[in-house]
Order: sequence, then C-alpha cells, then structure tokens
Amino acid sequence: MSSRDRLESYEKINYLLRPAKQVERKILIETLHGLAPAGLALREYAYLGFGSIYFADFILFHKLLYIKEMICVEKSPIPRRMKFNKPYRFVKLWMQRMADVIPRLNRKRRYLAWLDYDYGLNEEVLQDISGLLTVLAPGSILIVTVDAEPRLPKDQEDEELSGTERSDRVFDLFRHLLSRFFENGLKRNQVTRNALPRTLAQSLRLHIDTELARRREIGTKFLQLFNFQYADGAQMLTVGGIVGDEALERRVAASGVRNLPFVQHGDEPFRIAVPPLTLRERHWLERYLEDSTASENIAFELEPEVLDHFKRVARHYPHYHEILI
Amino acid sequence: MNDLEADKIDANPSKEFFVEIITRDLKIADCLLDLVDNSLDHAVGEAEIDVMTILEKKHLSGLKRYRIDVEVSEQSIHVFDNCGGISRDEAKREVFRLGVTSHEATRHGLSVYGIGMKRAFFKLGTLVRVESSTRKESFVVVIDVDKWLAQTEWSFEFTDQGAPWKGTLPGTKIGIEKLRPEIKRLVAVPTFTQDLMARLASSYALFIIAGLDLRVNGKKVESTIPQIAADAGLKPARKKLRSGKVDILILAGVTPREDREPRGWYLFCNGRMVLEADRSALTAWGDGLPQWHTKYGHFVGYAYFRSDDVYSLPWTTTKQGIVFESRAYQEALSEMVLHARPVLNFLSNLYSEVEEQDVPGRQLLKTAKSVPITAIRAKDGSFEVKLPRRKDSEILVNVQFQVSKRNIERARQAIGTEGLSARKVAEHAFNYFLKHEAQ
Repeated sequence: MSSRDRLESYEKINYLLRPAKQVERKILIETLHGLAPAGLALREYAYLGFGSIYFADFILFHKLLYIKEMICVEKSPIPRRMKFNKPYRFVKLWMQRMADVIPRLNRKRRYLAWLDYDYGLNEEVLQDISGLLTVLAPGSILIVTVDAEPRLPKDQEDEELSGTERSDRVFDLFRHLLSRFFENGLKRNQVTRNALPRTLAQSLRLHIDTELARRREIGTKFLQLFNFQYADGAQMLTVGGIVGDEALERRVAASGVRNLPFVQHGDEPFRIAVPPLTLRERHWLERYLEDSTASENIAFELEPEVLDHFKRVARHYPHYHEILI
Repeated sequence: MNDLEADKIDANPSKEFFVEIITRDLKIADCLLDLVDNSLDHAVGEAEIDVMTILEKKHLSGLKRYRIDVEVSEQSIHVFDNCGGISRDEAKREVFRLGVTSHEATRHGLSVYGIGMKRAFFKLGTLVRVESSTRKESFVVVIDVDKWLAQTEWSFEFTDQGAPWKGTLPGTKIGIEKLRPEIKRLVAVPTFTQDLMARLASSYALFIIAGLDLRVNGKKVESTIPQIAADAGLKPARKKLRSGKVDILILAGVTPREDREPRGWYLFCNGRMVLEADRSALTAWGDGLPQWHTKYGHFVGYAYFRSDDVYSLPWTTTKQGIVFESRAYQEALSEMVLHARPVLNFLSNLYSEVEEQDVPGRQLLKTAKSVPITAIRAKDGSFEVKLPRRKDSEILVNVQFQVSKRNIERARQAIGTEGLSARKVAEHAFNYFLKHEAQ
C-alpha cells in the first residue's frame, strides 16, 4: 500500500473542488426547495451529516436551505481540526460513529440526513440506514451516498492479487452483501463498473423499503427523489427521498417537484457529468443553447454526448478560479 | 344423511397426538419449568405483583410468602407449592382441558396456551396425581395415562373432593410416578439437579428477586442474571416503548470486567426468561448487528415484554424461544439493534489498538462498578461512554521487532546485567538512544 492509499479522502482532495459533487449539492438544494408546496419547509429541519474538515454541505445548506440546527458526525480522531474548521457555532460536533449518534437523535424532529460515505456499501452502511429509518420522524429526508466502484475496501486490498483473484473477491464481497436483494441471487454482470451503480440503487431501495415495513406507523413509505451517479474520480451513487406516507406522496406529486428533470424515482441513476469547458464556451452555450440545438450548430467542436451532459447540468455548472488571498 | 356421514373425513384429534406427538420436542427441564410456571401463575395472580416493575428500580417483595418445591428422583417427580391452589371450578373448566387457554387473559400471568402442564404430565410419566386446595375447597385428581388412552372418553374425574387443607397454606401438589424410561435415565445423570437449578435460577430470576422461595430437592435456587457495568463515564442504554398491548423495556450495555461468561441477549415475557444469552440471528446477530464474535463477549442486553394480554406476548408454547414474526418483537428488535450498536462499537474499539493498557475504554471498564439490573437508571437514554482525555505522552504503542539471538546477547553483555530479558535489553537500548540522540 502506498502512503497515498492510506490517506483519508479529505486528505487527498479538496472537497470544494469536486465539480460533479458540487452539482449534486445544488440539485439537492433546488429539489428540496421544491418540497415547500408539499408542506415540507426545509428551514425547519435539522441537518445531520459527515462534515469532514471542509463542511462544504453544512455551509451550503445553511446559506441556501436556511437550516440552523446541524449535527456533524466524524469518526476520525481529529477533534481539534474539526473544531477549528467548524464554520458556525450552532453546528454540533459529535466525534463518533454514526451508529453511536443515531440512538441520541430526537425522534420528534424532522431531519435532513445525508449519509455521505466516501467508501463502498458495507454492513455498517446498511445498519446505519436501518437505524436512521427506525428513528427518523415522518417527513424526514434520508440521502445515502456510497462509492460505486467495483473494488475491494481499502483494508482488503492487496497489491499481490492477480486480476481474476481480485475480481473474484470483489464479486464475493457484493454477493455476500446484496444477494438477498435479488430473487435469483447476484450475477457477475451486475457488478461491472457500468452496472454497479444501478445494482446498488436497487439494493438500497429494497433495503430501505424492508426497514420501513418494520416501522410502528403502518403505511410508511419511501418517496424517492434522488438517484444519481457521478464521478469526480471514483464513481459514486446517491439514493435519497422522504420518509413519508400516501398522503404526503399525494402532496409531493401535486408540488410538481417530480417534474424536475433530475428527480428520479426509478432504479436507473441520473448521470451527473460535468464536461470541462472554457469560460467562453460556457458563456456561448448559455446564451445560444436551446434544447433543440444540435451539436453541429455550435460555434466550436463538441461531441453530442458532451453537449448532452452539459445540458443536464447547465444551470448548476460550477466554475472555479484561483484567487490569491 | 347416511351418505354424508360416509363421506365425512375424520379430523378429530387423537389422544396419542397429545401424549406422543406434542411432547416430542420438549426437554425434561422445559416440562419442569412448565409445572413451576403453573404454580407461579397462581402466586402472581394472588399477590397481584408485576415483577417488571423491579426494573423501574422499585423494591418488590410481594412473593416472599410463596414457596415452590421441585423434587426429582428416579422414582418420581413432585412439585409442591403454597401459591393459592386451583379451585374445583377452574379444574373443571380449564386446568385439565387440553389446549384451553386459561383466564380471560386479563392479567400479566404465565399461563398462556393451556398446554404446558398437561404436556408435562404426558412427557414425564404415566401416573399423575394432582392435589389442590384453595381457601374454600380441595380436590384430588389421579390420571392413569395408559387407562385414559384406552378409554374413548376424554374427560378426567375427581378422585376426591372436600374441605380445604388444614394446617397448611392453600396450594397444589403434583406427583408424577411411573416415570418414562428416558426420563429416568436423564434424571439419574449426576449433573441433572445442578443443570436444572441453573435453568431455574435464570428463568425465574426476577421472581426470586421479588421474594419467591424456589427449591430443588430442598436446595434453594438463587437468582442469576448478569450484572451491568456502570460508572459516571459509562451508562447502559435504556428504552421503553409500547407496541399494541405490550410494554417493552430494553437495556443494553457491557458486563463488568470480572464477568468472563460470553453474554448476549436475555429476553423475558411477563417476568419469565424465554431466551438466555442469545447470540443468534433471532436477536439480529449477523442480520442487523455484526456476527457475534468473542470480542463482543461483554455485551449484554435485556428485552422485557409485559402484557395483561398474554397472547400478544412473543413467547412460544415451550416458553423457550421467541415468535420472531410477532409485531411486538419486530418493533422491539429495531430498538434492540439501535441501542446495541454503540455498545458493540465500544467493545470493538477495545481491540483495535495495539497495547492492552493503552486502551482508555479498558480503563473505564476497570473502574466501572457492577450494578444489578434492578439498580439501573430508570430514565431512557442511549449507551454513553465518556473516555478520559489523554495527552500524547500518555499513549503507549507496542513495538515489536526481531534481532538475532547473538546480537541480544552482545547487547546484554554491554549493559552488564546478567539474566536480563530480551525485552528489557531492547527497552534499555531504546532509552539509551533517546537519552543520547533525541532532542
């Protein structure tokens, strides 16, 4: 293992500079605002997340969703660094694992909970989801993000492994985790790099539905809003939605939020890709771009696929500049 | 009509079904526990006591005047109690009927399926004598199982009935003779009494705490139930909830350091333990919780189910298991998992660091007090650990490396102390280096 492999993800990459992730955050915010007509006022929610040292989602959700009660969970032993970087006094810092925090949550409070893991699906992730679905009050929003690369977890990776050995182990790992979600067991072609995000989305949905069926309020259902895949490096998958019931489902349907192009209730993830463009290119596209514009009418060379990617994220496209401060 | 009669399919139960079949999966200890349940059910009813309140830190002694004696020999099995006795009316309507559930199910008793006592009779022997006296009357019923099987009639008859017993408290005496050969053999095993006492000690732990005098062949059974470690920095989890007609209380924490038994989940229904130290998928191990592992040996969890409607409790007919699918149990299970995970994380962390004395969690366990479950905080809360803060200089790291025997010998000679262990030699060398080269 090189020393780089041992680094935590926050040490490898500045979270603020991950364009696809940033688009995801902005899409989440737009969608969550759209829930207001359904009676879900996000400003009254409490946010529960893994802030990491950048607190990127905390800052954004406070500024754009107006959330004022926030809990940051961090399991790495860096209490002073976390405290030092904490952007607001009202952010509560719990230096524990998510499992330790869940029993302490207020069961009458609505939470926006984002389990934004920087590793792949494992038993602990499934257990965290189960735990949250036991305590989250109706109307709460649960979002789960996991790494969706068909690879071994860091502690099981071994450079000596041959290609087939590694792929066998990867398959065993997912078969062990996910077989129960598929009637005929898990097939090898469900864990290829292309297929894995969808496989994970299906599994997460089934896991969530199973857990909700155990809840004391009969008729609780998961109103899925999010199913994204994106890659700023590693391929990631996000599934999210509302812990609701039929009445809320009708209100959400009436709110129109489900007409947003990136709201996804099915198993097929919505792809967020942020094609690199120059500032001039972006401005030209924003000015002249209509839905019908074909790539051959564009003032410069742009593959139809890239154009399509841009169209999907145009309003949320982030741009980065160096500023000397 | 005759045609219809001829076409009828006989679906009547047979006596053999009760005598031979439903007794098959039963163990001898389960039968004896069934008989004790029966006695205790009357005591609990008469004393109007709810042992679950013990866990709300209430002192209970309401069962002090009750005594149940189990006497087992190769010739016979007897259970005597002074728990109030069975009325003739009760005997006629319920007690001897097979599968007729007792009472109007309006109190938190131990009698549920109307099967335990009779099944125990059939399993243990073929000659049964039941004598009982209330404050008003008494009766005797003798059942010769072989004769009963031979007759078409299903009923039993009073052998004698009359005035209440004089000089003794009302109660019931059950005697079983002509023990079945397999029972005789098991009873003759030298550890039988001890094993039985251990089962009774845990199954009726709460009742014994509430004063019940339970004896096997004259020897008093003491309650055994694991204690929980607690301290200012270490608090067990507690959660109370209600599911339908069932009150549920969940406790989870760690056992004290001196408790070396691997524990697990302990489940109770109306005070009676139905699952002991469970480490299976029934209590979510490997399915909601990680697989059980020796590092979780100190985990202990209790789940108490209490209801006036005994049918809504998740116990099985043998009271040796849990009805997994029941609503009350499913709701409890979600909470059990929720509150167990922080405990398991705590225990897991004890093993993640290198050197034993280095782990602050272990320090916490060392200083924690051993607290009986009756003295745990009576307020809901999750498992709490407050680890003592440490400076970097206090954190120890285990260093391990290999050198040749010859070089250790050379170093030892250089130090000049004979018989110095290799480890001491290495420590000396390290400290020497620090002193001369560091800073």
